[in-house]
Amino acid sequence: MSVCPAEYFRSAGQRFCDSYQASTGEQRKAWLRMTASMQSAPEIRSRQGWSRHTWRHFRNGIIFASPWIIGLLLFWIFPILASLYYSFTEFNAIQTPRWVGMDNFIAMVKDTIFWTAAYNTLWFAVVSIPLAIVWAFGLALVLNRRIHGRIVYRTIYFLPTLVPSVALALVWIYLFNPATGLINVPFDWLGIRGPCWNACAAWSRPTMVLLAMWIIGGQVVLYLAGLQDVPQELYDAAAVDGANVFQQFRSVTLPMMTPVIFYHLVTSVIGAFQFFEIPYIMTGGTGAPDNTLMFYSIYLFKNAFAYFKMGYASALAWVMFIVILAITLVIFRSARHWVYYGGADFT
Amino acid sequence: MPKRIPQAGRAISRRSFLTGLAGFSSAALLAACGSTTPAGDSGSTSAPTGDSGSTNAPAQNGQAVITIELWDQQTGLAEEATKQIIADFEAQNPDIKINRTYIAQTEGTQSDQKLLTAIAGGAPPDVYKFDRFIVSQFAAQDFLTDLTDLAAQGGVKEDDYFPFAWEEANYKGRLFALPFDTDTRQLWYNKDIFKEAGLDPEKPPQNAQELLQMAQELTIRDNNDRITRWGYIPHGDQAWIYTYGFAWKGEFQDPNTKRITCAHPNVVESMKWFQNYANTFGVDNLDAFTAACTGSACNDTNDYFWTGQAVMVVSGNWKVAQAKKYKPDVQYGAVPFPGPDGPAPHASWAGGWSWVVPKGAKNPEAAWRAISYICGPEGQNTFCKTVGNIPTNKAVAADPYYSQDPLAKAFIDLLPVSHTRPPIPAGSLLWDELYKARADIIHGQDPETRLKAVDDLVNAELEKLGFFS
Amino acid sequence: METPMTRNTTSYSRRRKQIYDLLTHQILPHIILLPAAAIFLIPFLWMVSTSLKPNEQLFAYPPVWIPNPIMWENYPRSVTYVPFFTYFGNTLFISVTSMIGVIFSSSLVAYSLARIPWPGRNFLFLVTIATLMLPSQVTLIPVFLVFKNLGWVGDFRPLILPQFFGFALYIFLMRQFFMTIPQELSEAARIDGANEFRIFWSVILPLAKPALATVAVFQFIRSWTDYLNPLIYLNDQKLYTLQLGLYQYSSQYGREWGLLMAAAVLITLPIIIIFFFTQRTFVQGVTLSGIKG
Repeated sequence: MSVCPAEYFRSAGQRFCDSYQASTGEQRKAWLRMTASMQSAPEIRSRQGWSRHTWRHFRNGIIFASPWIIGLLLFWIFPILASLYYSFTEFNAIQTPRWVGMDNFIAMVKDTIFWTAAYNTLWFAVVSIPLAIVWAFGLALVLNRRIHGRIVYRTIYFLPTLVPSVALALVWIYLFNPATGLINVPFDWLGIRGPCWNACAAWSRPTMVLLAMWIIGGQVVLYLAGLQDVPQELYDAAAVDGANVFQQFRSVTLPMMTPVIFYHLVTSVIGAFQFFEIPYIMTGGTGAPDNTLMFYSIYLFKNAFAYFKMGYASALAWVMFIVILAITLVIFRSARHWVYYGGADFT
Repeated sequence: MPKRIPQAGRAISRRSFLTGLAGFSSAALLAACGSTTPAGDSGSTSAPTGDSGSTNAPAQNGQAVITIELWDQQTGLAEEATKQIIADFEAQNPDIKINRTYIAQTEGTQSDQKLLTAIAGGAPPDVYKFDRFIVSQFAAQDFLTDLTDLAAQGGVKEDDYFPFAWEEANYKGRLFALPFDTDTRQLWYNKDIFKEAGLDPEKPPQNAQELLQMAQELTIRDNNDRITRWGYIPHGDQAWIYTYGFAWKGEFQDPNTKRITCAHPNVVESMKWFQNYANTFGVDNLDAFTAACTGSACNDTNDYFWTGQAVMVVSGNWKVAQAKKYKPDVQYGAVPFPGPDGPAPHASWAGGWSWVVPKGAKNPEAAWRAISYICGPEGQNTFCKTVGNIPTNKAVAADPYYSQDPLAKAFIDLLPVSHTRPPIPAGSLLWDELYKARADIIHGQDPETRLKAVDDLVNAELEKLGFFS
Repeated sequence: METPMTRNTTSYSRRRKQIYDLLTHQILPHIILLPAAAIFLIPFLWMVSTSLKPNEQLFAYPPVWIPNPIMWENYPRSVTYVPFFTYFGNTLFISVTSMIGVIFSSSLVAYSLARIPWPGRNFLFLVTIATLMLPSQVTLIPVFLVFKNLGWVGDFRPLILPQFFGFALYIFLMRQFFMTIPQELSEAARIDGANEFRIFWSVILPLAKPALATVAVFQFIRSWTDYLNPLIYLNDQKLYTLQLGLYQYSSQYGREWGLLMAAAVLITLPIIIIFFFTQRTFVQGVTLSGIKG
């Protein structure tokens, strides 16, 4: 792909759009393969020693990443290694840790609350993540239209994320009160008694999913920013081809949004496993009813700071770490098949 | 396996390892960003607390002044009272200056992340206000300074304090805290609603049987069978298993073996009554209340007792002051909890606060002088009169001031018969387990089996902690 | 998004198109958005309503939504009950500096991961994401030890300075955005002789403004609403933040609901205002379509 260097800064946008319009179907795949090979060529050569080119990239890469590399060494390495060490010890946070080998991990297998907490957390992840993606993406799609008052709408959708959690917790408890809460009013109109929400084991987990959908504003903003990056020309071209709204969504919007969806997916897996604040607030940290809201992070927190079992808590944390890492790696593998990057093709 | 007491040598070796790390970290940081200036705002004059304990400055009389750090979580009236106590103390002790810092209290926790982090990080305050109920737990983990010898030197005696409070401040015969204030519990009822419902406001229930009957008369349900006014909330406010167990003359700890005995026959009896009550009023209604009042959602003005959504509750002396503040025009009464065969003043159990010197405090001697003043007659007097709490110091409690208000007197009179929760190093675990057990009993589990499970779990944990050895 | 009209449409079909557009672009979205907006508004409305209630209406049953009388005085009282403006200044300082730090550092790192084909970047990327996977509860104490040994405990440094070294979530986010920008733009600039920093500064950053603004807003809110870190690291009330201040309205013996909620409203308003007025920058920023000549 020859690019005229002199014209580059002036016409970058135009050129980009041209190449996109050209790149439909097979053409796009070919284009992607080419940019990908431009990317990975130096790495293939690295087996026989790096070229000057590769060295230059390596030097630049390190320089640009240096703040974070220093940050990792300074603020992250010691705490991460320390918690790994603690996971093999009996440690109350102040006395000298006592090495117990695999004892903490063996104890976990027999710990029924560990299994309950793991089940609750997995349940929440499996149910809430797809819903959150559809819900946030859907709202962003509607909000991205040129409609009256969309700035007001966006602000309103963002509101629950801004309200301090002390206040938010109280309003939730108040609204969801199975006896007097506002949420029962529609059921009363129908003359039936509404569900028991977070009060009973049957409804407690779905209620948590519902509450999680309330604080989705950040993700909506994210999708909106992503939608802004989709070139209008692609829609125009699709419209000229006679594509209707749904076809445009499938062939333009969705592929162009896959990097954002990928980000949301990975971060929400991490977020779901560390789900803490909402159930902690809604149960006062007890995990009631019947331990159905005893999430993994709550159990971990209680072990660390209420029962002073920092060693066991660290072991719990590292098991969680391994599970999240495994799931993330699977997502990364799969990303090759469904995430479309305009700029490069790796991960 | 018995827990070993850490040796100084090993503790130091860990610390020196960390210091080594600090050297590395600081060097790396300096290399990274050159001269990084502190980011504090220019108006502030603070010094990092880690070192401030040792700031010495000459006093007017030539003596060195020691500044000690004091942390507490008090606001409002309690904060004012504490500031007053500090000022009085400083006036009497010119060689000590107290630097007080308010610490935010994390919602719904008995644990304290900030204190624990500070102790573990070697930067604790010298003096801290502490829930007396978890003193044993913290002492067992070596988080607190042993005050036994300092107390002997300073002439502070067991006899100065109510026995239950003193017991909670001790662990394995050593003193780790000084008791501060306390509270007691009994049945509160709304006289106005009694009258309105055609009951005699001067005849509250005398026994458990009457409690159930009156509760049924006072309860109001809506079309969907939801309770909109509770005659008596069986699991609200202070209606814990402890309250019922003590009312039925049960025991939660064997006085000789120190083992936990929640499955004591009398406790089981009380839980059978409780389970029957729950079934009578509907398990789903009890669940609805639990969910609605999670955490601190039903505290203060949102308390069902003040909103008139509950006519009778088990609660404490703090309601005396709240009644005056929130509902000055409504008539309330407080009487001993109605036990299985007549009024049971022994259903009351006392909690309360204490002051401690965390492990690693820079100035334990000065800290001791501060807490022995705060928890001494003058400190307790100032605090309890400002806030309306009950003192644990016998001399202060004898002050006729505390018996002036008949409601307040009803609570202070309970002190001699009040129980305490078993002072064990797994207090939080036992509390959490009893909370879960109560929920399971509401949902139909056999009380005896369930309480037995609590005993097994907690005793196993105590065994591990070396509590029985 | 206006669908371009083909030149030979008749006026009839144009009219039909207009009605269709009105329906799909204006009426239908509002039918979806309005009820959703009502649901999202409830927490804030309840907060405002509570902040203006007299004590006896706070938790009255059935609930009171419009207070009577309206207690405007809760607002002046709430800002004097605690040193509100000191806390406000501290929080603003922490939030703004953290925001600047995180944008600067995270965009550089994201550029390295997304735009420079250096060996080892995939490994660094994985390590970056991995830092998010270990729950902070178990690293709280070791992290405290690090800051203590740096001598930072007790002032703003543990809250601000780490942001100047990047934060994994935002590095990841910006990487995703940077990667959607066609590689040929960079290649062209490289052939043109531009160095990496120039490509980063004059090609990539301008194209990624929506992402930068998103990160800026996220970090600002993250600092603004942070409770745990100020709690752990600040030991002087003069340095406290608004979130810590909110807890001062509660005590063991009672809670000033009206004042607490008034303060919560006052804390939330600045972010709402900032968000409202900066939206143009980050959801309608200079995008690729905007460059088109």
